[in-house]
Amino acid sequence: MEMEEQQFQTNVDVSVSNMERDLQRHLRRKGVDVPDPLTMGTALVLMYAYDAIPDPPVSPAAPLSSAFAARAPADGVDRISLLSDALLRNVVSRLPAKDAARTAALATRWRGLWRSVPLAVVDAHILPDWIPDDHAMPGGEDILSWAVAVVASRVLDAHPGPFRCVHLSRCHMASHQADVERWLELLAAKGVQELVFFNRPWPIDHPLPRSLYGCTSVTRLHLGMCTVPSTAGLPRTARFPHLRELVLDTVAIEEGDLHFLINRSPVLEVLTITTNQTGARVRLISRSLRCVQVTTSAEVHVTVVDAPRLERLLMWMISPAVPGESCSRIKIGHAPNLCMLGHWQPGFELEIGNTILKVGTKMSPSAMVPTVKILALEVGFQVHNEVKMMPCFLKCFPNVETLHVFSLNDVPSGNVDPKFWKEEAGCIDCVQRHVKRFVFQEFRGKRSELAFLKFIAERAQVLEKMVVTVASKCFSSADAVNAKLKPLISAIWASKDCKLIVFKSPSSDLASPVWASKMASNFSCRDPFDLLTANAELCSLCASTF
Amino acid sequence: MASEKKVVFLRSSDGEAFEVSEEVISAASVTIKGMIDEESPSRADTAATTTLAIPNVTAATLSRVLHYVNKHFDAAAVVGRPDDYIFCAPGDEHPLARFDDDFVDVDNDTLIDLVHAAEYLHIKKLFDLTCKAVADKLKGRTIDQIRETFGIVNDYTVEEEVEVYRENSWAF
Repeated sequence: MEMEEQQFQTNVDVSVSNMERDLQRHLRRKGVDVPDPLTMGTALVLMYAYDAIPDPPVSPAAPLSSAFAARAPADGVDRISLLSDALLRNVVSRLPAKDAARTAALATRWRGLWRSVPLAVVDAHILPDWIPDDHAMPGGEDILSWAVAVVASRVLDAHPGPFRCVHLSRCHMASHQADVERWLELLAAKGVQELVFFNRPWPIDHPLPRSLYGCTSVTRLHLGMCTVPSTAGLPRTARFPHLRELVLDTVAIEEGDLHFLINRSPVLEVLTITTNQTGARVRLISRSLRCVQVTTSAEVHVTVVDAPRLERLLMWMISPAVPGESCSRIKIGHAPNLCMLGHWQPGFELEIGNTILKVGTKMSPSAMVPTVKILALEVGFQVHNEVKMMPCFLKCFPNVETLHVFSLNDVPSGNVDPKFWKEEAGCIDCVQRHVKRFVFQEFRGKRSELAFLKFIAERAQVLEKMVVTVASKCFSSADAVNAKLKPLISAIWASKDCKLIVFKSPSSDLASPVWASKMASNFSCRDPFDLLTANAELCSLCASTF
Repeated sequence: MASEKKVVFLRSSDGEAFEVSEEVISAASVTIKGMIDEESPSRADTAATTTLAIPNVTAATLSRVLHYVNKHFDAAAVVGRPDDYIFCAPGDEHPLARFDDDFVDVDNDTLIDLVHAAEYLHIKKLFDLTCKAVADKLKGRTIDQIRETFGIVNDYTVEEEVEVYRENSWAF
């Protein structure tokens, strides 16, 4: 068995503990005392929310500072004005709103240009330079919020539209209700494609006006820290015919209103629900949705009733179930294209067809999802019930090719028999015949973990690569890891050509898998569960000792 | 097939001819692909190579354009296309990003010639790249700086200029 040991070299830095550390560093730099835990918690939520805002299509920074850029033309000829109007418009449309508007002062020909191109308005780009653009803290009304309200009103008034993007995330909406209402009316009348509309807390549930629903030209809608207005009483013909992506981040929304939005958006492909304190209840009936993602929320109830195009059903950091009370439930009905599912967390209830999965459930084709190719689950390997559930769960997905398992540091419960995998797990189709890539994260050196790793090694006939990340605080040295993994390395592997790669985990204590929701719903990202290991492999040329 | 790769010659406005793979230039330029398609019935049975006149582009600009085209559209030369990635990290750059940055790090005249050439030859990627580079030269600069670098003549009367500043005062 060929084994490589490598240390992480990664630029993916999206785990919660990392963000907390970054935030504290940021505050200290600003000379702010690290605040009380509640404020800190809110600031973290805010930071995470701002991080998830998509990059606007224009950026204020000019990458070039070359000597050429500042040089006047040798012959004094105005070359840029020789460009056609269409070309100049193309150039101006790539500028942030402030730079675009400024070109009006260059010469008479430029005066109306910026008003004739679809504008990108990002509040951070339009503020006067002397306003500090720092909104990581839930500050309420302050100079930043006030300036955004004033300048945004002027830009949205001055430009006739359409707007290719409008990002307003720094305004304390509760202090500017009339402005907010007018902005949405202007945007509805003038047309907007990408709309990011974040209230600055407190409160975090500021009610948005109903004029939001007038913005029917929107292609991407990203709402944050607010309450979505009721859809009751909207005309029967109300539609969002262009909406492709809907992101609700710390948003209060009634179940009926969410379903109204899904139902009236015929090309909606991506739905993301983040930080929903009251839990998320979604009944999916959609001919267009391809990716549904729920993260950092309380209890989740997702029922896939009829979603013929659904490919990705993603969850991350869902609050753990309360034993004896309700739990998160995923019910999969008609989803003939579902190929990616995870992270499955302990205590979730799975229902396929009409079968609720339990230990010992007899497998039948109607209780399987044969289309899933990438599966990710979190397991407490010292919790008897969780380990016992694993084979049943894996048997529901007979064609999985990439399997991600994240080992949780749960409090041990019940007696986990190390012989369980050898003697009781039985034949698991996906492991035996289909898993090519197996990623095990946060190996802590427990016997039960090792037994599972051996099970995979000895059964997976077409396995090409096994990647194990090691929880670094559980081991003192590379030798300790080697000693612990010896039974795995010396096992009789079912696949002769399999490569075993062992990494040191990048963080001292990963309590949950690393996740970047913005990337997860990007279809060009083929395996969002693999942010750490895939990147580490790409950078692994600089291998070092453990 | 590799041994009989077809080439075409492009003749610049100042009479210089450049050799380029037909396959590569067809993938890059909608305009030249159109020209080749128009020519093809007559050259099907001759071994003669085609020379196409590009009347709007000088040799200096054309050679730059072909450098870009060979880098971006020659499948054999392109390594690590973005779709070969099994995943994409936030900090990941397109392998050619650096090349592109250097490519447009030129004086204003050269850049604007490239914009015109990309537009005429209908090479969308190059057109986007060069328009963006022009836009970058307008970002974060004062009006006087922009006028100076591009040689733009201020033809406003004083009254008009005051009025324009007043209209857009939030931007200054």
